[in-house]
Amino acid sequence: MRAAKGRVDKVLLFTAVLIALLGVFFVHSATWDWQNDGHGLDSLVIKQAVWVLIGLVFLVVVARMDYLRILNYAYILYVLNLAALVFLLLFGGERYGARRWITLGSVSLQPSEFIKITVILVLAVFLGERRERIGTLKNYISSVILIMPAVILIFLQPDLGTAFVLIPILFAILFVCGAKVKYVLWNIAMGLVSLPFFWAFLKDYQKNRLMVFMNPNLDPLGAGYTIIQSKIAVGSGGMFGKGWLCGSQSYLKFLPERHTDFIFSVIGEEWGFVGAIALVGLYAIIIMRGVRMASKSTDIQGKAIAVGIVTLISFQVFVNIAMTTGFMPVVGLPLPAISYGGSNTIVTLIGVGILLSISRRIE
Amino acid sequence: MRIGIFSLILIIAMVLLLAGVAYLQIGIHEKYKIMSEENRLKVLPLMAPRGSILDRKGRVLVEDILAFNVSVLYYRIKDANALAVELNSIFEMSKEELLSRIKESKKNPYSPVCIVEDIGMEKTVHMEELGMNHPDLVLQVSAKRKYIYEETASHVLGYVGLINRSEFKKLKHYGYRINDFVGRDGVEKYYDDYLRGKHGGKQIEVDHRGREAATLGFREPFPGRDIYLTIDLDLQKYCENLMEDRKGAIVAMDPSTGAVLAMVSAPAYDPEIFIDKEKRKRIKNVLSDHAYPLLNRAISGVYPPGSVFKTMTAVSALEESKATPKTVFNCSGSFTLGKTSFACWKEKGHGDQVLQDALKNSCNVYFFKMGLLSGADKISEYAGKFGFGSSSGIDLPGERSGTLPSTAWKSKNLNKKWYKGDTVNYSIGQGYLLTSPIQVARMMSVFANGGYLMKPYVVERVDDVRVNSGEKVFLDLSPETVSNIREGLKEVVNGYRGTGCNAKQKEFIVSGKTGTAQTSKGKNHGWFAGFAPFSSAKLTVVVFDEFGGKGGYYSAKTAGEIFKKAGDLGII
Repeated sequence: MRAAKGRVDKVLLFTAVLIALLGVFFVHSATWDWQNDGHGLDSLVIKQAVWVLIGLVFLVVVARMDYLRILNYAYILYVLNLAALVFLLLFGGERYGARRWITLGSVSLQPSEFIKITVILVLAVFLGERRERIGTLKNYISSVILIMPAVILIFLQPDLGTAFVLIPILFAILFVCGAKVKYVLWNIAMGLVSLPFFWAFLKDYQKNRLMVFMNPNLDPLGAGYTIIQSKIAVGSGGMFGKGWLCGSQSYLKFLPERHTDFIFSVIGEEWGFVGAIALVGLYAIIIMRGVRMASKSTDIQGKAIAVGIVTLISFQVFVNIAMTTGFMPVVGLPLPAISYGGSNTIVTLIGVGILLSISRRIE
Repeated sequence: MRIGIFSLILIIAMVLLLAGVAYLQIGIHEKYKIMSEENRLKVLPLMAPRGSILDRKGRVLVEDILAFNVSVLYYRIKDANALAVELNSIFEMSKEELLSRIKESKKNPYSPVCIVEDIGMEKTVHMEELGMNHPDLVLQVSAKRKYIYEETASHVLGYVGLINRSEFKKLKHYGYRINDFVGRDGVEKYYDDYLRGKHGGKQIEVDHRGREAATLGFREPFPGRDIYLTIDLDLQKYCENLMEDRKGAIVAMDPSTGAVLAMVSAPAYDPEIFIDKEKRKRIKNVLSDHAYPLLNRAISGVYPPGSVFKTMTAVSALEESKATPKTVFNCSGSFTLGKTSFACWKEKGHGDQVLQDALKNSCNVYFFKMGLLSGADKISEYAGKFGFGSSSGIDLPGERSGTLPSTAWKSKNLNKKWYKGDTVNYSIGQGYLLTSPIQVARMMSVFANGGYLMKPYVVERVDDVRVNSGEKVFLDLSPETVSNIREGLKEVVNGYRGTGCNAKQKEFIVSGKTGTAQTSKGKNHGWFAGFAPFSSAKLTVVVFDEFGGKGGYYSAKTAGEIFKKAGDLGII
């Protein structure tokens, strides 16, 4: 084993911390008017701040570890995570029509958030074991089969967004690590062809969301509602936004999930396009640093992890903002480390922690 | 190489994303800006009615009824003067008043601001027709609070008022709006959170003429919750009639739970003076009335209790073994301490007496002597246990805890030494001691229920949820003390020439204690506090007559009538 001597990537570290802190401010802004309900939602800000702190502790712990050592536990973590998902399907309580949360005391955890990381780790260790035969069809199919249980279990919850994010992660890792391009392309084509087949598995509300995505005015008070409200919020923000806590769309709290999946509508309304560019720019810094690590990493595991985490973050940013602005159907993916939620925040910061661990090997 | 392609895909994705956001925020920004800034996007509040207040049997005492108001949209007004003239021709409001209200609305130019309230059905129809040509006028429905029995139970119910600016600043984060009513006293205030509905609203897109073009958002209004009181409307009204043309208070409560069945403070007021435009003219009279009709004497008025307090002197002496029920004290008609002489109310004196006689006769000298044996601080210790000097915790705002004096209290607050003469006065409920009728009711209930101090309450449940449940504290008195005083209280009403004989009833045994408290103003306060029936008491009644003379006469008589009525109503 080589010792990790290099220094940690400070740019990456500071950007990630900055994003997480901004998240607390945005959650404050999004829940500001919610206090009217008197349900003490203002405490969400404090909770989010606590999540960020916990996430940062994880980040530091993970960053100080050797990522190759972490990989020793990849299979165990993956199996445990799958077990949690099975447990949820069998015994989990339903919330908003889905079984996503495991509740421990006052804390709810989303195993489907953690699977985003464990899938990346298990793929890295799998491909690392087969680094000589990566190009083979057999290896390609085995990789797909390896993560299929995770995709299916999450799809059954149902959590379309998270199930969906695992697929580009798989493709990106296989592609960068040297799988044959024609397999990847074939696979994508097959996936597209089988889409109508999945339609049958969708829950009614999911079908609704897709239909309404095509035409939100179909149902302005029902399923199209969120999209319209969110578009008005972002659109009326304009170039410079309306200013901190000045979003008028908040008046009657028309927009549900403002502090979670739709937090970008608050950012867009209050900070305008300038704010949106700045935010995407911050994510771009993380993504660029991650890509750099992927290209500089000498081992296939490091490459795979870096590519996986970069894909995870960029895909979520892309889908989240695109759905908030009405360019994509609402699939329920959070804005990494910004949307309210412990699992999302911690998982994103763990991801950055692993990237930092990789950075110590290459600098 | 592959990493290059990978990053290229990422770059393209991010560029596309920003292009999309730019399209929305810069490209078609105008559309949404117009929607949100130029008021094409409107929020119409949907009022949620405030909950009703009902008595223990479900009879409605207070409810919201619909009222129509005329509001203006300032930004649409072309000629404020002409509008004032036109409205003046319809409503009985001066042109100047109308004009000033219209100008006032400039503060909220884009929202409808109410200028004429509660216009009545006929004029509503008229206004609807007129509104066709008036984009600057909006007819709004609002809820109006109706107090069905006017002055009945006004001190329990309280009243509501329009939220003012400073309240609004404090409360806006709790969902209050600028035109909201907020509870100002009584149950209306204490339970405001429950009574208040949660307003909903509709967000609409309007066309250039201000008409609704599309509904964009909807938030359902939730009506407030109904409050069921412990008050019995029949008993309450009966008690109020008894107090007509008198000043004072009545408390009738269930000694086994603390549920208040009637609470009267006289004089009373009509809560609608704060909301009804006709009745509003009477506010001034009510506010300047020297009888203070807004004051709830039952919980916020504190007075010397007089002889009612002799029970506390007895409790302290018995519990501290300074005397027994058989201990004899002689009353010669007066008692001399140093150079000062303290008189009994009976000049000839009561002679040799034991506890029961002394309570029955309400002998002062007996309790002077007993009080000196106990000492002021011991009396205070036990009176404090019985709830004097602290608030009862009743679910009404504005309760006062009164004064429970002691040697330490006097040196701290008056910077004076406590004299034995103070103890003499104190032992018969005079001097520095101040108590509220609800405190006296709690004290008497301890004897009624055999030793438990109850927390009184006026609200039974909110919708179907019970909110109070007979909270009690066991005082841990010796059973002999309680039963000896109970026997004495029974004698007061039922014994030969008992001081409380006016309260006596045929159907059941009433027990209690009278009190006549001297005041610095010369006139005396009258008290009667009692309970019935003797075993397993169902009702404690306290009658307080402010400057109402001898408690043995009027107050006891009134209490007797209340017990009788309670018997008729099936409460006893």
